[in-house]
Amino acid sequence: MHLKNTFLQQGHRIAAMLFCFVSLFCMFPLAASAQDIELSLWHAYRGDEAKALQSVADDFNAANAGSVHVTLLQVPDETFANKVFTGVPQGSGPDAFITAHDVIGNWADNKIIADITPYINESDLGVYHETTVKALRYKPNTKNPADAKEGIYALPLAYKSAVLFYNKDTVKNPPKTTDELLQYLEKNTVMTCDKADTNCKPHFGLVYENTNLFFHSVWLNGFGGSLFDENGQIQLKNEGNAQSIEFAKKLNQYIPSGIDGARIKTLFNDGNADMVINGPWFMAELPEQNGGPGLHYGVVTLPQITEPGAPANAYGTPYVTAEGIYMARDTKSSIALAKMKETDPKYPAAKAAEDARRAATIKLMKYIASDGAYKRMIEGKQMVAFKAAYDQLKADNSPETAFVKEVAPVFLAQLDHAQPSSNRPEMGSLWASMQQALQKSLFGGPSGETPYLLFLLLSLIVAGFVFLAKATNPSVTTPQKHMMHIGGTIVSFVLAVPVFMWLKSVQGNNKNINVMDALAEAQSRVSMLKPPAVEEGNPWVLITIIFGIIAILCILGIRAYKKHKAANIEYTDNKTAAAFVAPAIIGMIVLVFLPFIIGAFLSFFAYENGEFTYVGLQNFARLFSSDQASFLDSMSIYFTFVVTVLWTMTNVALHVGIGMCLALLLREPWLKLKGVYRVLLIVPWAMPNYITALIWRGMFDHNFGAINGLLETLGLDRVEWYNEFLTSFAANLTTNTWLGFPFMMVVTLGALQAIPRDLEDAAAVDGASAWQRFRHVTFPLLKPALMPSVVLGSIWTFNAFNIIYLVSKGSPDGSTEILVSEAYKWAFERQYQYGYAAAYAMVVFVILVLYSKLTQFVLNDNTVEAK
Amino acid sequence: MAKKQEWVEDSVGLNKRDRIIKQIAYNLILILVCIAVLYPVVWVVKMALTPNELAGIGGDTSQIQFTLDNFKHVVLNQNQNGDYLFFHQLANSVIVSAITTLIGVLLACTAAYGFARLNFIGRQMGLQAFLVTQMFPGVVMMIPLYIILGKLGLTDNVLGLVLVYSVSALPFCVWNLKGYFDTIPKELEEAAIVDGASRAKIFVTIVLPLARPAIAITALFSFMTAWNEFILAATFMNNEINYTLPVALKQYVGAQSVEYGYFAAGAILVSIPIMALFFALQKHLVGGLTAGGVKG
Repeated sequence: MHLKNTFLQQGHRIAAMLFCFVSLFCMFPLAASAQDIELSLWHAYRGDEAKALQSVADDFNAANAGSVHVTLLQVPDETFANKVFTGVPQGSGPDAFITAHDVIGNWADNKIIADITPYINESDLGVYHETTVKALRYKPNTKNPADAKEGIYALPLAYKSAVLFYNKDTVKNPPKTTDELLQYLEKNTVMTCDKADTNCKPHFGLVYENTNLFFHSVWLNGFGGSLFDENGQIQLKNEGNAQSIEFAKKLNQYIPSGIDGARIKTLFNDGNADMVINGPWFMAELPEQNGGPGLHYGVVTLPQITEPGAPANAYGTPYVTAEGIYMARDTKSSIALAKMKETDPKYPAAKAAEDARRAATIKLMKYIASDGAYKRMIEGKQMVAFKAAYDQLKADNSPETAFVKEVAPVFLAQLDHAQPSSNRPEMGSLWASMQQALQKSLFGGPSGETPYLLFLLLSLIVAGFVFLAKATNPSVTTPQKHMMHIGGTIVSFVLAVPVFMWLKSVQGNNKNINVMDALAEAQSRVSMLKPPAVEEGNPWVLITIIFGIIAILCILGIRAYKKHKAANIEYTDNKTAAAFVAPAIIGMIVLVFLPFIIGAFLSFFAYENGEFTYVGLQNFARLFSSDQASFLDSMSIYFTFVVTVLWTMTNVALHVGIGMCLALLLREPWLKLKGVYRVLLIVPWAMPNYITALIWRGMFDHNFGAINGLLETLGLDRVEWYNEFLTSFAANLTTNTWLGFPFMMVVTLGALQAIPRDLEDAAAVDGASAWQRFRHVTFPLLKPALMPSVVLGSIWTFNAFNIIYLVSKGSPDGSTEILVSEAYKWAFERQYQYGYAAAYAMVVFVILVLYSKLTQFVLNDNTVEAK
Repeated sequence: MAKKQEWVEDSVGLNKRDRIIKQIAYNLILILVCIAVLYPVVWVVKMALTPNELAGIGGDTSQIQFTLDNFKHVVLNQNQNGDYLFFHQLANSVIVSAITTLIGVLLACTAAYGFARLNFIGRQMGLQAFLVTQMFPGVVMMIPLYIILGKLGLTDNVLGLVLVYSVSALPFCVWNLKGYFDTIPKELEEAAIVDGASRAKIFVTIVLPLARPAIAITALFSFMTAWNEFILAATFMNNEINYTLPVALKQYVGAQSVEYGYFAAGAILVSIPIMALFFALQKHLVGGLTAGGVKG
């Protein structure tokens, strides 16, 4: 292994040298030379911000030619956190990276980022805006609370807070107070149009993501609300929070539902929304201000709050996010140094090299934060934290600064009425819980019975049809059996009626939810999401489990051995087989089984402060008690399980049903254009689903989605798809059906090829109808060929979380999440509770194994019956 | 009786009028389904042709502007060294996918043949094990996998990606191929064995040529797995020039906003090769996928 390792490293080095050589020849000056310190900096910027950062980095490289050289890596935002989080502890992360301040709590606790206090002087921080510096300070949680001391974890680059964007052509005087805002909305909003009125178009005075705490914070802080009490404990139930939500409810009368960033952009750009509460990134989504045709927009600070009951002199006070440049706590060289003994003769040199590297990293961080600030501001349109940049801006009269000159003072002024959001690890679950409270208060809560009732209803209907099929099957001869089947059919269908009525009665959200109750519920949600105190588990539990598994495997092995002995099978091909099968098996063991086994072990551990602690069965106990969530709460694993089963059942039924129907149409030999249809129908399979799923999300939009448009032309009412469980589930289901049916269609087409047509012809001659032919001839022949694909398809669907992640995003209130998507959230979005996520995943695995055993059992049973 | 008449006529092709009616009805249904199926795809195309700052989800259809700028931007995107990133990333994608396909097909064919024909200890168990891997939830495996590849020195390395991809496509491919091998009559091989041919020779000269459709599908699957994957590629690769296309594509998706125009244009460019492959292999697709549906 060691040999291979060095060989690969050598290979790498040679490749790198070749690359340098070639680059030099190509006249691309590559500043790297042997004595350079090579630094890497990761970021998730795009567009102008990325270009400006690159340009600043180039300046840095030019200024430090021969000593330090930095290389940037732009990482897609979606994978940025995971990449840093997995890379840094392994030594394959960057030296520095740029991200928002809300990661600090989690990443400092988990030892991803370094406290830079030892590397800088406190006075160095005076050049940055105080609010942004405040956002980057944090006191980490340590095993011994006495060891904890506050540090600063990044240098601030820019701040991002919401302001009010307005369309200059329609809004002459942007509202200065909430009274003016409400008056404007009253006058200028057209929520829905009469179908008869063809000239009417929905038009909105103001749009913002009103269930997102980041934007709601404008009102929450404005009304004096807060998420923590004086002692720093989470406390959501307070007067200010409640008032702010009441105000949001008032605004909500004028705001289209199910609003998200993409929709806001379209509405504002098309002139269908006059004002938007949004952050500086929104500017990148709007056309450049050039006085040409299209949108002309301006920005102002958020209005004063003049609502009755609001504190005097209250202003819309958004959260501000500080983007900082961080130092990775561990890098390849620091890990190597930590492993070295201090007595090692090479140690002093390595230590000196490491110190030089850290110093260079700090130099880079400072350069980008301060020297590069003006460039980032003008070219990247960033609202920088470096105060002197604003003075420089005032003095600069070049035309390209005109736009920044117009907007920068507004954002700077907003900073006077803004506060940094908390960087504590709990904040992650607060975003989610407050979103729930807002969603419930504004749109009502989903009823928790729905999935259970839907499941019951579908089971009854399926049972009814199974009985019906048996009852009409002529091969059953005993009259008792026949009566039983008829009875079963009647009972199932009759029982389905009250279940259906019940299901119908719980539909429609309860819109009269008390705001305080919603906050109280959010508060209890926070405590569910919080990782419990870690208690070391009894090691014998794990030892017993391991021995138990080994014992079971041994028993199974012995049984299999005896069976084979009894059957007297001789294995003639062992050696040949080894050659054929071994490469694949070895690959599977190393890259699939090993990671899985490690993952399985992790379910007995809790991940805290960057290390795993053995906790025995704590994760499982927590899982099955579902954090004391009721069965009707979407946080309950039982709830999620039922949703997952529903999701799998309905998906597979639709995939197979639609796929089979289309295959039956497409197999007719006389059908023209067969090839064309076949190609067109597999397009959903061939396109990457991360884009088509996004399109589908848009198609279910309330105001502009194609689906509601279709409903309207059919004379039906528009549906708010993502606000209720049933419709949200249907949106996910439709998308996944669209993606999944082609596979089943192709499988069925192939299976049909293998079925001789003359059997059906013979049946036809005997007078069988088309349905009878299918039911008694084609289908029984298809079934065994389709079964493995169906089992595989259901396993895939059970584990397919990206559709839910992209389409409904779990809404309303996480009720459309399935088990794997929950596991994903626990692992990466809820304070990295990796052990708990692993326990979740183990449950998923066990369910799937049981399921496949069950289908095997049913399958064997059927084949026996057929014989 | 009437139904019987209709059936006989349509399969034998006697009654012209009925046949035309059926032809029209079938085509009508299929056209409707195709429209429903292609509608979202048309939206992707529309987004790709709309100027980036206007492109979004939904929106007013009254203001339509068409431009090819998005494609231009995506294709001609350069880094600070003046490298055309798209072409580098395209090359990476092609290399990674092609090697994945090669290794995947090689491993899958040999393993599937072993499982289909050879009589060895643990055959049934091995086959089950392949199926069981499909039940592993990927969430828990990512970090352990990363650590293992790190220990093998394979992070930030095309080889690491290739190995992971080819192995992750393997279970399905083995099952599918094994099913296909099962349908090839054993007698062909038995005759060759009597003639003294080795297993390896039989495998290469007799079985593989017969299994062409299934091999084509295996190749398509392996290729698609590698071509569309982005989470591992984004996690493992530490140099923009080493990214694969889906990672580059995801760079247009930000935390608060998405550059829809570029994203859609990129998505179309990324799907073209897969579409072309599907088109080229569609004959095999039907024959090769299915036969997999035979019990293990």
